[in-house]
Amino acid sequence: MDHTNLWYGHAHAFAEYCGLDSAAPPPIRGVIQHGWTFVHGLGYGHYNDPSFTKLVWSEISRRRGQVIGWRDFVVTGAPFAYLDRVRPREDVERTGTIWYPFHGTKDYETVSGAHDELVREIQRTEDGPVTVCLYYVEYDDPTIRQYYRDAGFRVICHGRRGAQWKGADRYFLARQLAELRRHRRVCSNRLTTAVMYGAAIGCEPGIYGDPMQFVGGKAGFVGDGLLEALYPQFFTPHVEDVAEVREIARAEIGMDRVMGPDELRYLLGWDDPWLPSSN
Amino acid sequence: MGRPVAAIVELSYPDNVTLLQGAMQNWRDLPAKGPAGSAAVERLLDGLEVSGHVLVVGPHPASMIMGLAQRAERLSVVTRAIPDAAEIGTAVPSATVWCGSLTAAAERLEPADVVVALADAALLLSTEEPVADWSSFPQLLHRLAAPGARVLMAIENERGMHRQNVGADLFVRDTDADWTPFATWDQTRPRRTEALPGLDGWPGVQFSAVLPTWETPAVLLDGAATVEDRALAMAYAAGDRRASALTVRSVGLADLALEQAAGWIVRVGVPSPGAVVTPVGPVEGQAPTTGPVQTHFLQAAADHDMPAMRALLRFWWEWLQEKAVDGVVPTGYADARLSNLVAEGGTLRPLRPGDTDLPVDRAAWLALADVMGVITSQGLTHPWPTAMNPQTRFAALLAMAEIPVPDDLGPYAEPQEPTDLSRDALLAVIRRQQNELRIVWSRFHWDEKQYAAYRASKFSRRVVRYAQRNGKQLPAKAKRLPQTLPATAKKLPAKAKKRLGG
Repeated sequence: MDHTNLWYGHAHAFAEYCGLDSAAPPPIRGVIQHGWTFVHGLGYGHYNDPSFTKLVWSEISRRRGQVIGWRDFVVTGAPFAYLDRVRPREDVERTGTIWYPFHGTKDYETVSGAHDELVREIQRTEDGPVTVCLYYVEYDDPTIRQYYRDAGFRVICHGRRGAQWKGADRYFLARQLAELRRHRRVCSNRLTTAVMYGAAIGCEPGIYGDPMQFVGGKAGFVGDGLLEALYPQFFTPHVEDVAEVREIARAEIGMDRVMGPDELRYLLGWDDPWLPSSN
Repeated sequence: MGRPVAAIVELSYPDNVTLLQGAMQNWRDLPAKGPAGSAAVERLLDGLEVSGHVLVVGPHPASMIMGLAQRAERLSVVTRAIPDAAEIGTAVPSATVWCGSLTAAAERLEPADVVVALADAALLLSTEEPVADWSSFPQLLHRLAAPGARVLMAIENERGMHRQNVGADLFVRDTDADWTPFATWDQTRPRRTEALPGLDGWPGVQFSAVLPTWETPAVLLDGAATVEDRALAMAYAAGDRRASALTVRSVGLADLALEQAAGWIVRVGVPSPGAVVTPVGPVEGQAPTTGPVQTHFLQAAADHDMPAMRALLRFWWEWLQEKAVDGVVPTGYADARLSNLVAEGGTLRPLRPGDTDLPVDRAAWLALADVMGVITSQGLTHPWPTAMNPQTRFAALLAMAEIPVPDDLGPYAEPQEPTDLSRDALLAVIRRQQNELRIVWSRFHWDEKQYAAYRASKFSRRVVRYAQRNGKQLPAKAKRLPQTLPATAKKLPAKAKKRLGG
């Protein structure tokens, strides 16, 4: 199946929800939106077999895809929303802030900026314990990691994304869910998937600090200036109306689009009841 | 898949453009279709008193906005698409352009003395926002209009003549613009003229009806027009090739021009430009007692009444020849299309003049090519055999009136035909159908490979070799395929279960 379906444990989360073996999710006849974006959710230059359904998180992603000529979308909601349903919640009091510095990738774009200045900004703004979650690209850089450790922050990484069907950490999303559930705030220097996830499940979001340079971003996928216009409520260290941004985040993640296990299985191509050789 | 990356636009706009919530990066509404882009509707602006703060709402041509900017003290524009905002902002540097939804803009704008909203509410709704009822838009416009403001607001009519007898219902076309096809087409949208004045707090609301199509309006008809004016307007509307000739005929005969107009433009404090207005201005004249000559010809053709067709064409050819001077038809009569002529007092009268003098033969060829084009492009019934070559058919049409045949029939027999879809929309339909074919074939190949892998995992080496020869990209883990079957495998028919080793 499309290798991006394995990123962050998305296919695995769907398999768990459907009662299948999450260690070996069956091939999906489609491509899952792998992150929250302001474009269509499927990344630059993403080309799939024409028979693959585009499994997007939100109605907004579907609409944005339609205007550029794409069809065959199904709004499933994010795999994160499904994992949130199946994983039991622990009764813990939310404390502190989990901070996600904007990240690059090893194979596409990179992020360049002053992490030490960002650390100082975080220290000025946050008044409780801070967990900094670095993407594996930044986490693997000891210099970057040390900036945050030296500041006394708890520094973690949710796991590796993987590439070309290898190295994907299927527990990534589960770790992220667990961390977001136990923190009171979720912050970043850009509006990102993690902020949307956290806001959707009860974190107070905040966007502040140097957004840094997004090096190698493709035309139309950078969004500087546009995100501040589209989602002004998020771009502040402390949002005024937490309930409002929570509703926005829930719509962006598709929390209200979660399907039942049977319906999801049929849509993903995991069950064609009329075929004897159904996968 | 089409053009997944090329359709994504780099973010770029001048300093007089401000992005708001609802701004759409990868969309364009311009060039404007509908009343906003129409020469007929621009006649409304001739009589519009422009002063103070002017607000233009929706995608309008930059040329129209420039004209308003020259007359206004201050000009604001609200449009949803970033590329359009960039175009308008560049063309009209004095304008303040707000790019986003009208809801977001209403939070930032000061009330205006003139509000020009000639784009339907469906062109104000953004992909970035939830669907809003139609009624929210006149409420927003009312909020943005200062007391005593002059307002023009366009409303497309779902019951309009342009939506009858179309090839595919406009709600199911699935073009790139149809991301939420029923958005703003809810219960609150007016579908009768009596629903129009219901815009709270606006005294003296009047309207002009847009005829015959919404995308390319040709005629404005005043809401208070007499029955004679309505007949005159429908005669002009019949000349629009994009309109369904038979639908226009029917609406005219039923005197439903106002109720089944393509849409309406509500005028608050804006004088009527005239009872019947075309792109060149108000028209007057006696209303035809019958419809255009074309209507009669099309009826006779559908009825296979060839004698009637011949009689009509001969009468018309004699008239045209009488109007010619030394073999040249003067400009006033050069547009000899049957759709442009009405019968009056035993002779024919053109509704509009031509563009230039024409040799009489050429005027006749162009006119008859036009009526033949209406028949073929709109799929109307005619008396000629289906297998008849189009050029021979055209020659036969000329022969009905003993009109000389041109040396080259090609340009007349097979001209380009307008459709209700733009060129880009037609290409989009073709691409979509090509994609659907690819999808179906791809699904077939995928299933074939799955089946081949399944057989390879269960049967002999000979079968494996066969599968490898014919299914070149077998999954590497074919032998483990049964283990990845879902729990629902237990629900398989017994035969299948047995084959799978269950």
